[in-house]
Amino acid sequence: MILAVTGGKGGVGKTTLAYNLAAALDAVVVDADLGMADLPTVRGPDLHDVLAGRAAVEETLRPGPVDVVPCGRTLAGARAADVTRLVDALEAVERAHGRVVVDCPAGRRADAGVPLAAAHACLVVVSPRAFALADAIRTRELARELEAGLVACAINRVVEPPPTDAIADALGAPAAAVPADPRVGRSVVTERPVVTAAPQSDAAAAIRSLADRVPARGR
Amino acid sequence: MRVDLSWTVDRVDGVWFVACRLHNPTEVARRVRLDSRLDGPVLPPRRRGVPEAGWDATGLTLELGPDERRGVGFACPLPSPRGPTTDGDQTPPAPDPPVAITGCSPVDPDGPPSTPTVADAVRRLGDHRPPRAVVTDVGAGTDVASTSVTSTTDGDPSAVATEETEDGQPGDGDVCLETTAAITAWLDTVEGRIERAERLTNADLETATAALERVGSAADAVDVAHQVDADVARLTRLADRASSLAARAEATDVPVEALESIA
Repeated sequence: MILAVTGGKGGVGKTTLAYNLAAALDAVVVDADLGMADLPTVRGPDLHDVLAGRAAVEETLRPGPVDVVPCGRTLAGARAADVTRLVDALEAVERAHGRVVVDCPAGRRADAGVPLAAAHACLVVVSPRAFALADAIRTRELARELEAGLVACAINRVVEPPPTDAIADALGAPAAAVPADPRVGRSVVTERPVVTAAPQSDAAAAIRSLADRVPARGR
Repeated sequence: MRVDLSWTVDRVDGVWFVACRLHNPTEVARRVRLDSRLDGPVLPPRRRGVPEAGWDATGLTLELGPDERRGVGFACPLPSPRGPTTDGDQTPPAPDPPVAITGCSPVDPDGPPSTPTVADAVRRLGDHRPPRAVVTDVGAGTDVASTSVTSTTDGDPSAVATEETEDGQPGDGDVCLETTAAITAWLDTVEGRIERAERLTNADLETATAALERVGSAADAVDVAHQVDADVARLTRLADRASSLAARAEATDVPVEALESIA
């Protein structure tokens, strides 16, 4: 099962949501944001090396509270990456570990499209602000064209009650609000996913409810 | 065959260019298979490095609607001449015809729809790669520091320097190594100019001559003087801004603990 966590706009919290969702799903999270990686990385081969044909994806897997396939942070690495190799890499991780959550880049370029084409389902992250919805709808259209079924949309970093029904109608999928919680924001850097670090919190409950919508198996 | 085919073959610099025109004169959509008969690999049209839909190693499969005309083409490198070429051009002529229709069947409207592939996505969407110009070749060992990007926001690499958070505020303390590297590089350039100007300042004849040789001509020295004047203005503005920002940064006191307890 490969789940793409996507969203049209940058800065809506795709990475933190992907990381925490992977914790709830007991999945490997793959940082596919080739130009602007966010998940923590260490020395050693990363996704850039895999996409340049220099490493096998198994070599890049970094175990932790959530297993991570990190991505390099150099522009040279992003330029050398052949994004068509991503499908084989994601499928290899799926074969070895079962569930894969892909942190997708923003936008409508090839690096945003390929994970959607490879994924069995996708989850769109949207900011509660109205202007961010247009980007989410465009991403939703891209996912539809590439046949990545939308399982849910996450309205992220909610402070006031959001127009959940309106957003769900616009995107045509169940919407769930994830409340703003500094522990979620810190979870990636501290490697303490909120579902285990603060299981009683509202944010953890929201992430678990999103995880419940993800089908157990792919196509 | 129920499909009309005509072609032309051009030869340019050791490559055959084959242009074909297909016409389906019938009233039903047809799926047509076109195979190359040339002795060499088929080089199909590509977009962003990915062959156009329908092309494979030996030819093309495409669907033609009723009475639809379509032009397609590919390239094929000439086979390298075997043995020594003594008496002129040994290259065999292109076979005639260079292509053949090897399959033609009505399209089943109830058949399975084609599923989108990764190649479709790459063909249709824009290139994700950062432009070559931003990937500076600064030699092994230092490229990581000078070209890497660290940011907690998603987005286009080209927007690194101007990336804003949802609040419309500039990125909150994101360490942008690329920007830092650019500033350091600029300061290094300025320092080099100032050193050249220093060597020319109050120098005796011998030192001045040596320094002038290094700078170039007297006109270049005047250039250096003008640039250093401009540097003075820029550096003063930068120093003012930096010290006022540092003072403001020092005066802030975010009650992290209190905010977390009420969050």
